[in-house]
Amino acid sequence: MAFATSDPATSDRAIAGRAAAPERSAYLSDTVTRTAKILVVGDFGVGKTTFIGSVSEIAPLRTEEPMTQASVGIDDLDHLDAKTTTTVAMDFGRLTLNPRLALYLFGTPGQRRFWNMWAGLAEGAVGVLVLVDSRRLAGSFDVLDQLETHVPAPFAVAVNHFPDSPAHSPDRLREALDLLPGTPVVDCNALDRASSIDALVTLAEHALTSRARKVGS
Amino acid sequence: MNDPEDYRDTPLRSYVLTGGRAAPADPGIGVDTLLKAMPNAASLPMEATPQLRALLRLCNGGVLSVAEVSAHLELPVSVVRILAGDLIASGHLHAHAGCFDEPSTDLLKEVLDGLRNL
Ligand SMILES: Nc1nc2c(ncn2[C@@H]2O[C@H](COP(=O)(O)OP(=O)(O)O)[C@@H](O)[C@H]2O)c(=O)[nH]1
Ligand SMILES: [Mg+2]
Repeated sequence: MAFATSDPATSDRAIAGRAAAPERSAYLSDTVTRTAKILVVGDFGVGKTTFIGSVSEIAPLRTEEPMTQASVGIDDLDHLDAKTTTTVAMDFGRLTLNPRLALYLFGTPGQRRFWNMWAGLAEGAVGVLVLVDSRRLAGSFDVLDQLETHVPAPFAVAVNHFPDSPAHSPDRLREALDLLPGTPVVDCNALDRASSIDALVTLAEHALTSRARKVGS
Repeated sequence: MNDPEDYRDTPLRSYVLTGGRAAPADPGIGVDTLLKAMPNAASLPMEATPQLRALLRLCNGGVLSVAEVSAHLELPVSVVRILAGDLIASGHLHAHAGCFDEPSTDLLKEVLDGLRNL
């Protein structure tokens, strides 16, 4: 893990409450009363930020969370002066799907301990889209293991295409990733909006069929 | 492999921003909870922190999710959840949507239809 020291000016800006006001278009329509969320996860460099930027209706946003929040305790003032903490970033975007409903796409590093930092990010999610780079599949094994064993939300795998990606058939990828038979695998180009939205459609379809199966059983 | 940009060290400042409080955030407020300013709410008390004022000012402009407020104000989501909880309790903000329950089948259908129609 690599660390960079933050610019103190950033903290000052936040503390002074002088952060820039967003563009008018960044606000949601008043008619929106419901939200849904999808997580976009994957190893570093698989294209999460690119994917979110391609589909979002607003300029993608970023938020940072201190990792030691829970472990240190928020009222522990003794350590205030000297202590620094590691932050983890989350990129996200938004899609207004109809006048009443907005979908949020949250992109986080793959490891589940990071998702827990944002108040049960995966809880109540429509599903999780796992972005995979077929040039380095091994980077996705941990994430997939966790999803299969710990996370109740349905997930689908989107294989992001880079110019030098080897041409694997979806079946071979499924085998290499050792996926359960029901898990959808879809090709995707995170630079392309339509292709990225197709991947989201695949996930939403899967979420609905998983639900129907659960309700039917 | 980790993205160096996704992790960094910063001074620990959340304590200050929440007035050094240990109060847990409202469990009903999640990242995708929508915040809306209440019309005709009284002005904030004198001792209100700059963060509370900034949050309310931002929300006076229109509806935003907790995550968006966090990004625009450059405050962690954990801090925004606490501050928003305060402003809800004082009648300045109203929160809706965003929950930790499984989405209903109707909501899943609506998401799918919405995505297909984009
Ligand atoms: N050719 C191509 N490049 C991509 C694609 N997705 C991401 N990239 C590039 O891969 C790099 C890492 O992508 P990024 O979205 O930052 O990955 P993240 O770490 O998962 O957020 C960037 O330089 C992107 O421009 C894609 O679908 N096709
Ligand atoms: Mg990224």
